[in-house]
Amino acid sequence: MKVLRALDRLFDQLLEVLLVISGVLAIFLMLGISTEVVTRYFFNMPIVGMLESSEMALLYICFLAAAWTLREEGHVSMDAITHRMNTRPRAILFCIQSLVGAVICVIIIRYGIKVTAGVFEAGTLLPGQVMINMGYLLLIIPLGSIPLLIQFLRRAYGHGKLIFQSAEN
Amino acid sequence: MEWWLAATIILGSLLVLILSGFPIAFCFIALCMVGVYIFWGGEAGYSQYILSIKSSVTRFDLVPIVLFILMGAVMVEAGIGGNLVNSVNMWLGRLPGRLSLIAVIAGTIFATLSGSSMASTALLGSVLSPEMEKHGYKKSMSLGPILAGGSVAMLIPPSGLGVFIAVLAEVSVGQFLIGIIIPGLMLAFFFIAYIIIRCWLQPEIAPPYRSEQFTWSVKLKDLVKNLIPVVIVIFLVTGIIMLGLATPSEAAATGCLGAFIVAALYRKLTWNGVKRSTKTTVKFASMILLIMASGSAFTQVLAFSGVNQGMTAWILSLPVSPLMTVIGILVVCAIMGCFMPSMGIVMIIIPLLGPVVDALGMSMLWFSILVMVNCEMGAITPPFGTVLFVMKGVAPPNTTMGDVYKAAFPLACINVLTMLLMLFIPALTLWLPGVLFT
Repeated sequence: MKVLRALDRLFDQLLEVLLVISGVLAIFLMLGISTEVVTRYFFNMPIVGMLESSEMALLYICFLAAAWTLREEGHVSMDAITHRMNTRPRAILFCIQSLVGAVICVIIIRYGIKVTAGVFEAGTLLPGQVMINMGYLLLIIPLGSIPLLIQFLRRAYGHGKLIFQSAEN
Repeated sequence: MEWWLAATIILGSLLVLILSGFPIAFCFIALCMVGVYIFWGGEAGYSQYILSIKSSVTRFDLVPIVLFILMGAVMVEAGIGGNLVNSVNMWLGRLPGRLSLIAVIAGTIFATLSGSSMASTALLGSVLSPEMEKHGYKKSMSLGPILAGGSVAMLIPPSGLGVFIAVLAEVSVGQFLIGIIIPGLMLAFFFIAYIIIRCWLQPEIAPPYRSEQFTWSVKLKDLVKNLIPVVIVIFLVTGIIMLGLATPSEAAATGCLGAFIVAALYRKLTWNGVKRSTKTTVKFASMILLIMASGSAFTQVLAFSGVNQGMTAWILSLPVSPLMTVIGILVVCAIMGCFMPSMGIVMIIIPLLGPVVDALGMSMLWFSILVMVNCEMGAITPPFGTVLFVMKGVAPPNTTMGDVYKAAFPLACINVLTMLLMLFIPALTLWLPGVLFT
């Protein structure tokens, strides 16, 4: 049990780290693009690769922070009906949802790895000025889905516990 | 499979998933996964789906979604909204319903800095609601104008939802952001007119009170201190798009940087503030981008299943005029707005019914702006409009949800009036982008 709790804390810290990286990427977008506007407009010198790295940053922000956002219950949902449900049926529903979410993540991880490996192997480059293998971009899809999978499982476990507790009461 | 059966299965399962409280992003991902498996050739389709996630999110024109949120969050952290309310308060004379007018005017100005209706409503509600209560304003004239001032935020650039709709509808983000200016200002004007007329007819709902008088030097000093920095940020976002100096993504970056500089000049740029703003940004950006991740796949699933073609052909065969068809779509959209969050509505309406509008030969820009106004109305429409719950949260303790609903009803009517004007006079939405982008 102690090991599980330690792993739980470690995972929470990992989510915080991923959040910080996403935040840094958001700040990077602001500073990088603003600098590009100035250098292009006043010195006629656009920053090479700014467009591609901005696009990459979007995908990274999306997948790096997805698990943290889920932990914070920040993904928008329609809770008008579930709010009115009793604890037990709601916990059952959320537990099933979380398991469905976990299955979705498994599929994304499985095929994400397959596609990314294929792209690395084929040496497909990102379209644009920067010669980067597209695999570095795609990699974040399966990689970011791993913490998302774990978070869905944690969510399912949390609601599962609630189901049993409410049954005992 | 018949298109109507496919449509019933796809939309029915989507509705069940959404109503079950599953996060909207995962509802679309789950649906796409089933759709991809059926229509894209089994497991091979999943590899295509991964690539479609990549192409849906890695779009430079989505950058403003992240940066507009960051900009709004920094402005909220810096307390700019509170300063704006005080400034408008200083300049507004002894008018009937002046606190209500302050809510709409300050809300409209704050809308140019923050694209979030919820943030705007929370701010206006927490600042003005106690004042209104103190001066004996009736609930209809306190809650309503705050809701009105807050809801306008969605409709005036910068608007993250606007960027989302524009990208999904495949119209120019710049043209869209400029196109929503006139409807947004028109709506604010109608809200102001409503307050003035209502207070004139029923003076007891907003009793006049002796407001503090300020000398011209104090007012001008305040103008320089509070309004000029705001104008600079507005110029850095909307101004440079209008002048053609930068793309909307670049304007979002410069505006965001401007917001940081203004916050620093006000000495409100703290480390904790930056951390909180970035957290808010990442939370919302990740959520919106994850919804967007399925945008392209969902559109293709609708196309592969024959739903798009079937529905378009069926709607075109109906003996109604194109304008009536658009009105019908907007009615559906408005009904959905009573129950669903804006992102969900947009993700269904644009890919499903956008092709119909296209086939009718009507402007997609005009239609998508109408959908945007509809979403704004949805946010303040009972029973589940998101902004209504924010309003209840910041309203005085004796406020019931019924009070909020009653206050929101006239605003929804004003929204309908605005949409009717936009429907019958398309120039209201198309003129400004036409002038600036030709």
